[in-house]
Amino acid sequence: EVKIALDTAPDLATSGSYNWAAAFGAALTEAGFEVREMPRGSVGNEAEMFDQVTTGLLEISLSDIRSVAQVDPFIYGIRLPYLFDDAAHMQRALQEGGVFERVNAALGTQEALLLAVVPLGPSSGIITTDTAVRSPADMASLRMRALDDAQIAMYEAWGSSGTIVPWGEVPAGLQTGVIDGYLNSPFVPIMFGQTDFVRNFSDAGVIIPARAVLASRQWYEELSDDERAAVDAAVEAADAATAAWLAEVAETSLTALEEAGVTVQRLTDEERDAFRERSLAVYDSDLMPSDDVARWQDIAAASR
Amino acid sequence: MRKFVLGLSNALDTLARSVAVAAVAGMFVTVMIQVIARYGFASPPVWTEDVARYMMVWTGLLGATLSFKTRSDAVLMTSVFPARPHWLGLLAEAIHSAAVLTFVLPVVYFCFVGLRGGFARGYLARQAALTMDTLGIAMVWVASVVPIAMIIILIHLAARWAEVPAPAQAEPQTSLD
Amino acid sequence: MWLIPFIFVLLLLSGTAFAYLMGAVSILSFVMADKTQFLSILPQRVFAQLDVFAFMAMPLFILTAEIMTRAGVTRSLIDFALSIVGRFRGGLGHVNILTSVFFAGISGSAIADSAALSRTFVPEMVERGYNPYYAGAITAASSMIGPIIPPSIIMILYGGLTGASVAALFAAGIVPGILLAVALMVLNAVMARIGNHPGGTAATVPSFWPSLRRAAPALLLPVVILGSLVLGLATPTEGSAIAVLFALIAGQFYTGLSRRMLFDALEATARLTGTIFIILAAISVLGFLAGQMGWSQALADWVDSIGLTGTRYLFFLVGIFLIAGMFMDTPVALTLLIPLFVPQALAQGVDPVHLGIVLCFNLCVGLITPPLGKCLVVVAALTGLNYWRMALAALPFIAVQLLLLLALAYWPELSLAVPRLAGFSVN
Ligand code: NA
Ligand code: NA
Repeated sequence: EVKIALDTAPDLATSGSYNWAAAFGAALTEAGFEVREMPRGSVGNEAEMFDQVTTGLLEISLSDIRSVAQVDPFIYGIRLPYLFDDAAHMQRALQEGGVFERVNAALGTQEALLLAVVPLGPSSGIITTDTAVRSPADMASLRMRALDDAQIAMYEAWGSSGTIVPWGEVPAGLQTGVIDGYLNSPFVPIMFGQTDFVRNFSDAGVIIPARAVLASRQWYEELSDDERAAVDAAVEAADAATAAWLAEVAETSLTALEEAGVTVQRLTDEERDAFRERSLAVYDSDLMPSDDVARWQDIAAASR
Repeated sequence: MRKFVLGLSNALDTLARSVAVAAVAGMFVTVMIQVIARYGFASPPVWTEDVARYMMVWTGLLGATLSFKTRSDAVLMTSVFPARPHWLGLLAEAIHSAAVLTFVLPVVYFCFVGLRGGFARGYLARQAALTMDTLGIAMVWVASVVPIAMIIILIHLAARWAEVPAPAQAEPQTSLD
Repeated sequence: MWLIPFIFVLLLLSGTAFAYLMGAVSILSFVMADKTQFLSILPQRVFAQLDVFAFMAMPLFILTAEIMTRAGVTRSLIDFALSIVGRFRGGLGHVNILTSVFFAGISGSAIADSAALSRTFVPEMVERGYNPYYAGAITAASSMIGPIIPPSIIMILYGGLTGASVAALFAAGIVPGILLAVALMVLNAVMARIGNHPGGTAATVPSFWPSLRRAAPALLLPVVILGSLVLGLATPTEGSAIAVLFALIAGQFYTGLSRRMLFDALEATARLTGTIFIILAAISVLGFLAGQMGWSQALADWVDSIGLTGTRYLFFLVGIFLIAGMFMDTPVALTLLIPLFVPQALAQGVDPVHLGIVLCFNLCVGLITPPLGKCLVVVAALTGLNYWRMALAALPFIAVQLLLLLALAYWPELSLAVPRLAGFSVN
């Protein structure tokens, strides 16, 4: 039995990772595997999903990037602002730049395997409560929810400010004004029912929000050659299905937001460049080793 | 032997109490830093959330040893058996101990031993390979509270049997509901 | 598998602490279900299920109350209540209830209220000529206001387990808490007339303004907590730290705080947090088994198949939680039942905040209902009164609370109007 631990509700309309999981599961079923989807949270939180993958109790997990980064922080490079032009570029870079080989060498000691990096949805924009954002200057008085040091540095480079608020307190924080917004995919406010108080979305296209598909190495290595080939093929099929879905929702995700009453700011390339140029400060901060940053820039350039 | 177990249990209880008190105080201070930093500092520290949460886990698990030691754990119903030294009271105590061992021993065992790979793949060994990104230290330093608390509970359990006569269950002064 | 219920009953009868009872039964269930290999996740499970940011408000609000009561605020609250309602017939009954309203603002727990107030109120009421069982019953019944008016430990627990906004839950508790106080006072007034209870005399009633000044810091605490949340200075969890800070300052205003007092308050906090965390740890093991076996899904399917939807499902839950509340500690019942029953209710469109208020109120009624009315137990233990005679005297109070519970379940607006005004998004 192949258990796939989901990270979102099983909703093909809004979840990129579920599109991946569904296509992967369908391909495996066709190849004769018995597949079982484990609902979000039913096998535990991120730390538990990772632990179960590494002990061979869970075959497939849709994990956060942090789960991989706690073994090899190099993967955090995919969160560098404006590193990739789009999701397709990111996938090319990961393949051609040898990222999977490098990360999997580190994950090997933990009996885990990175099968794929899956876009959660269209690229991240600026989600705010009251303020419509078209330029960094619009964010001067905003306090944004940040994930880590790098995001705080990025908001500061934009002339805004960041603060740490755990995801569980984000809805209350937005409603009471502890924070004025956060950065994520356009589907996120819809998925989490926040469109009553999130009033603005700006498609700044900062990063590709992504999940890491982890597999148990024990499970993977004990497969027969045929079975392993079927799994590899299922990964490719799932990647393709997610890419197709992503192309489809690039625009419809924005109209879905508008239907939910959220004002969408569609930025011009010039307006987006203003964010891009200021974001470069993050590359020079020492939050990530400069060798690693240079490596990521090379990888991205080579596959552009 | 009896004296040693009682002494060890009491010493560990004193130590656990001090660490738990420090953890509660530390948790309060860390959350305050998080609030103040948001408004006062140019660049708020990112470690506050993790540190406060981990101190809470330490508070809770060491607190569980305090609660066990003082017999203030919540019960669904008080024992229908007569108290020790009546043999039925002894039996009830034996049943309690069996329940504690059934819960605690597997937790302790799997802290050190993994499903495959024995000692090298136990919970603590797995956590040693993971790094907390906000502080840059290995997760095992935080996670070690699980076996520490569970082993302290086992020692307190041994001390219950070393104690004669068994003290009556303390009347809880306050509770959470 | 047939062995499990037998072992459960044996552990129950022998008085095994709930955490170890549940932990042992869960682990044996893994073995019986032939899922023994999954036991290797136990340490990770225990750690991860406690490592929840929202739970942090629990120890911090406990600490707030520990500091405030050690600093001696209780007497100032009683005096203030006396100055307002002490002069009426049945005055001390009203004072008892009103003190619980004030006390609710610094404490998140009904047991803490019972423990702090019964030794003061019951002897004083008896001395003034009240029936001792009535005095005990009204003390236990009014202590239930504690966890309904914010802060509230059980609402934090509910929020942590369901993801509902704790700030919204706190705001939602205000009206039901006040309604409960009013309902109990009306009942007390009626009982005072029937039983010809004594009234305060002008000589024994302290004057209003001086007692207000003494009580002001304690009365300000809930205002500070809710204010910091609603004005967006802090998230709910951070609000609990602000409450501690405020308690430290207010403590200076009262008797002052010695090092010893602070250490004791911190230690009591750690121990109380420990009693609940070890239960959370044990239940998390059962929760994992439930996830692996798909129990929650099976229950959802069953509920669907018998056509329990919307309001009918809500009333079904009220029944289940009422029975649970009679037998179990509130946090125990919450941790055990929420993962099982609440997802379906939310899926059927019941507002999580409304549901939280109803279920918390629900379980609190169990605190004065035999066989295990925890507040009655505490009052009986501290005053030496007979438990069962006091339970009998509590019957009218239970009836009033049940009526209010049904009203809260039926009219979501009673709970949701305030959070909506405060800007939270609720149904
Ligand atoms: Na309260
Ligand atoms: Na009272």
